[in-house]
Amino acid sequence: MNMTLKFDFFGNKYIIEKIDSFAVRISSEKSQNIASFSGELFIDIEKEFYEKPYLIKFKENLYLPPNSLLKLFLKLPLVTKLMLKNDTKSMEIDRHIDNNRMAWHGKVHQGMLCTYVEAEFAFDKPFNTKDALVPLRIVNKSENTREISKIVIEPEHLSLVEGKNGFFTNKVYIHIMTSNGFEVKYDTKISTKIIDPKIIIDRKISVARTVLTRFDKFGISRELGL
Amino acid sequence: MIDFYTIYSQYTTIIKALLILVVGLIAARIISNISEKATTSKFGNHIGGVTKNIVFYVFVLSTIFAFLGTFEIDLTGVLATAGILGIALGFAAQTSVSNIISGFFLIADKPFEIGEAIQIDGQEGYVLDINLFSTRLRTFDNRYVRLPNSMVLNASIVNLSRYEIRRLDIPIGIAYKENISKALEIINSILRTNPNVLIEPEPYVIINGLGESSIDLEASVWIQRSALFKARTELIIEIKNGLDVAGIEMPFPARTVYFGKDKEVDAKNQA
Repeated sequence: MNMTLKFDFFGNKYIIEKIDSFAVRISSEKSQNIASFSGELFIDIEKEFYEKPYLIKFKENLYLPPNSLLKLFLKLPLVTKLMLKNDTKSMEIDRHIDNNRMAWHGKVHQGMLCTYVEAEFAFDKPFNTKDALVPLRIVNKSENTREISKIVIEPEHLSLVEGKNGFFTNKVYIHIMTSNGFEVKYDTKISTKIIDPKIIIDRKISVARTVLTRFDKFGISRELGL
Repeated sequence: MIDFYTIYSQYTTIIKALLILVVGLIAARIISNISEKATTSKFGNHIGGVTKNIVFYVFVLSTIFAFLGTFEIDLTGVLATAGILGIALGFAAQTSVSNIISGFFLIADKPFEIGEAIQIDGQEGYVLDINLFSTRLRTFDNRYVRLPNSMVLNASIVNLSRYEIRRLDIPIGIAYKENISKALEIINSILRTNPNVLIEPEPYVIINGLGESSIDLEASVWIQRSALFKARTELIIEIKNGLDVAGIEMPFPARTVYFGKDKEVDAKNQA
């Protein structure tokens, strides 16, 4: 009955102890909560894509001659979730987000908010990384040489797979259609085949909502409609 | 002798009239609700609510005419009277009619929708409802405000909820003796490292001019609407602390005053 779990999650120390058959106390340096949880408990780590589209800025710019194809592996960061589980249910305790900067893609009055990522890429061997590897194909269908410094990919279109070398996704095709001196227009296609999948991790399109609400000192901004 | 046929016929007429009234009113309610759902899904809550009201009142009016018709009441006179009454009411209710027409223009123009935050004629708040006569707001400090539609139509409206990101401009003044390049470098580095500031569109700092008591700079950053107040507070604190640490003075307005007496003394001393 006095089961206690102690662990470290990205520098935050957690203690989970059973209060009785139906409740557990989740303590960390910052907070203390009680949750309804019965049975044998265990801790698990889950990986997930960021909810917002990725605005990926390449660390090195790419140049593509007309009608050419470039194959590379791109690193996409994942959200790490700390989960408390028993045989029947699971609950998210904490989540770690490496990339917390945002960028706007498009015109200021009609665009979309993206997670900003400065990504590395590799041409042959995949990275030894805990991030997701995206096999990327950039096709220049225009008649001119194009410079590509950044692209936008929506996570809804990526299936996350756990392979031999870590997490990876299905292929993403970026087709450069037209461009002018200021911007490059392209479309994105995702392959339906997944290479050598071991475990397909369910994509969580909808995020679990908590029933608790809290007021912070800047909550006033919501009241001001901003 | 009792005329059973007449009694039977009168009762039948009354029952028929009541039936028309009840069925008509129920039908008005049901059809107006259906029309509201149909229009809301396509055009939003705003138009849905107004369509519901219009459909309901048209059906109620038709039901009343049908009800009176069963008693073989000549409606020509009623309509003529209604016409004259309508003109009289029209004159008497000019403001109300103006509000109704303005309501239709507001619906067509769509400067805001229910649930959006707006600023109008000194009032700021969320739009609760737009009906035939008025627009109702709940202000940010939780007051209920009713604005006549005619006034809303003629007022300047600022929609605070329309766009997801906003530009935040922070004026900063540094003393004339300070190094501008160094100040710009510090402020730029603060803007670029604050997690609330969007990386694109890029933040920037401009020199606005040479003010009365300071060199006037302005930092402009793009922020998610929901984080605007938090970001403003954080950035002002960070900029102030950053400039303090670097020993850059942020002067407050100062004025040197010469008194006439002192001026005479100065002139004598000069002589």
